Amino acid sequence: MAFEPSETRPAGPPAAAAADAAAKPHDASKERFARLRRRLVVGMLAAFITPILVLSYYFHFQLRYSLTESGKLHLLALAESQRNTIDLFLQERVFNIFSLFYSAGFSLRPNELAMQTCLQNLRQMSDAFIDVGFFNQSGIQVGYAGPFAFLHGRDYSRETWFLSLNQQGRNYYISDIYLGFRNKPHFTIAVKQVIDGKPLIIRATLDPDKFYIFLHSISSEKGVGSYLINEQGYYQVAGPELGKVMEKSTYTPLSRVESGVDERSVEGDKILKAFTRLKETPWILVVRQPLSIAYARMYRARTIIIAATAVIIVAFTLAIWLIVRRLIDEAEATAQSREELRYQLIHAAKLASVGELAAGVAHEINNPLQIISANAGVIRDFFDPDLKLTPTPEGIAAELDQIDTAVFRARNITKKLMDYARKYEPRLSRTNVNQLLDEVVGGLKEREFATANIQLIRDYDPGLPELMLDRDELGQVFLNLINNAGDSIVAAGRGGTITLSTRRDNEHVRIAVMDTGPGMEPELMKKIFLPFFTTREVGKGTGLGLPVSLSIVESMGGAIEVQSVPGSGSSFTIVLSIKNTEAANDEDRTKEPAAT
Amino acid sequence: MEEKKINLLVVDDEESFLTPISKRLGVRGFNVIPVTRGEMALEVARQQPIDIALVDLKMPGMNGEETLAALKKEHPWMEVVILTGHGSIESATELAKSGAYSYLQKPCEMDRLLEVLTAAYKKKVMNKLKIKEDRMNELLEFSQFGSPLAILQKIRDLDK
Repeated sequence: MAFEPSETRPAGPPAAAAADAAAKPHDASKERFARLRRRLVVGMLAAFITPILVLSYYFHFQLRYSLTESGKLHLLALAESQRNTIDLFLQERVFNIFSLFYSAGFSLRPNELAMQTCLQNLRQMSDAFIDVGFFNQSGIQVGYAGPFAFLHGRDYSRETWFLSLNQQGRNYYISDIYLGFRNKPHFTIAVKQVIDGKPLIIRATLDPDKFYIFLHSISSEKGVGSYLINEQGYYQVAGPELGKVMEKSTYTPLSRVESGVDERSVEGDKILKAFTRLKETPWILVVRQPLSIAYARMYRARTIIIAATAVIIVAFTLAIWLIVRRLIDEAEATAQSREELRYQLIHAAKLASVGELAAGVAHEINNPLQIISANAGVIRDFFDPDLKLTPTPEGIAAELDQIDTAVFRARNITKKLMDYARKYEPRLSRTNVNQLLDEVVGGLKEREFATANIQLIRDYDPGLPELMLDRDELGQVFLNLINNAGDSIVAAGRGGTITLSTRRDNEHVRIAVMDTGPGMEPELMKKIFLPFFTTREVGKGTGLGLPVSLSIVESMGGAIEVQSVPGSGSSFTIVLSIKNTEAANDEDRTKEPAAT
Repeated sequence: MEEKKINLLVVDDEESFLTPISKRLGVRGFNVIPVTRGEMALEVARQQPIDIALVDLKMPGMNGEETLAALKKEHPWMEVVILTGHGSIESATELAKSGAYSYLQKPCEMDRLLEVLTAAYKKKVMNKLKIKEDRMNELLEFSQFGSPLAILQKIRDLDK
């Protein structure tokens, strides 16, 4: 082993610089992972949340549609059912009056008592009846029972109801609400019967308030209010909170449609209104329900969807964050263990090389030992009586000198071994590459090559910048490449040339080891950097030289290029980036006295 | 009568070893011819008669195995002893197949070296004179306590 590792290793600042250099790639990788983490979380969130939002919006939309539709239909059905009840109510009232014509004691000229009886009958049927009157064909109310006595004998021949009843075919008539002679809102049901060829009319008036109470009683659902309006929009029957009787309502339902439902805004509140036209009268039943009640189910469903979506999003965010964190932590740990493995590989390779060297070392150390033994033996022989020699001080001294030389030789070898096997962090120092190359080939190696008929050519670039790197590690790489070159030439058997060249090429420094050996096929070139691949015989090479060299060069931020022409030779070029390894200018000079 | 010295060819690339070993063997009745290369060993063997050779394994150029094979080929009577700094059982058997008489590891005690060289020389003489071993022992009146030197002396006398 001709290569000497540097003897002095100043501790302190260079070690810190080395630690910084080691920390820089570590920080960069930490930052890379942090970035990866952020991107993953955002990406996955977007990927998960977007469909969820889209889906939930879609569902909400559909649900809203179907639930509001169902709310509307429900109100409409309610309206229609109420309408049927109202129609029935009116039909019953008409019937009540009809039956007066056929009751016992009916006469063409009813007296007071008869009328009272009629009224009582009617009121038994429904307390909506206010009064009852009997009209002759001229329209004079000839019989009356009720609170408005002054109406007795009045002439109604020009009243709308009278005229309508006489003109129309149907024999009953229900009027709108009107004030009439009594000047109070009421409506009239008048029934006409032709007796003995003369049309006779019995008419009863009904109290809209009582009608309203009836109306109110049949709308039993929460929040539902009903009222009746006529075609022109005037309230007929309505509760006080809904509208004043005989006033125009703001609501005008669609004409020509028997029933319908829509949303309205009344004094800022949103109301659902369903309308349907009665059969018995030209009135319209309007049923209203606040949207908040009509759409209660929809609102509830919407709240649930929103809440569920929010919960899902939160849950997903949490899950994603946890998963990503776990993944990235694992990835970071793996990356870190890979770095550690890389160091261990270098170290193991060193140890393996030591194993490989063991055979060589046994030789290297045994040689000095045998020399010592032989020289000591010569001295012993001087004093052996059988041999009868004459010892001289000079002769003995000469042998002792030889012994000392051999001892030092052995010690150097063991020391180099220890240096070689010792594990250490890369220690950077300013390195003159040309000088390092010379050190590696110098002395023993060059003589070895000479005896093996290998010519060594140096082609150095004198202007090569000094680089900050670990001398021993780079020296190891040089030694490995040069040994490989030498071995390949020896294997070919006919001698050859090894050319060491250094060049600066813009941003890079290129160090090439070229040999004129047998070269390599492309197939072989692919494999040479694989750990434990070797073309030597079993036991003669670990196959770790090139992989370790590559690992070292890569950890310096460089690369190894290989070119080979079978039959002509191979060239291995170490490419180092000046940026990565440039000796920083002034800071370094103040930190570190020349360590080379 | 002038004592005939045994012609011993020592082949080792380590000059610092050749010098003292030549001295030590020289005073014990060997005519030592030291060479540092296998090719030189062959040259010398062609020019002078050599009885036994002591050959190192690890040498640049022609290594120990090749030297052994070449010497045995050119000089079948010559016994070759291998002296080496490293080795294993496999290599020992390989070398024996190639014709080595024995295999010694460095560093080696002089007594042991002498023993092996003596035995090698004995074999050489036996082979040359085609004498059977038991007859040889009879001739030597082999004694347990005889020093190797004395035995060597007797064999030399026989070889004249």
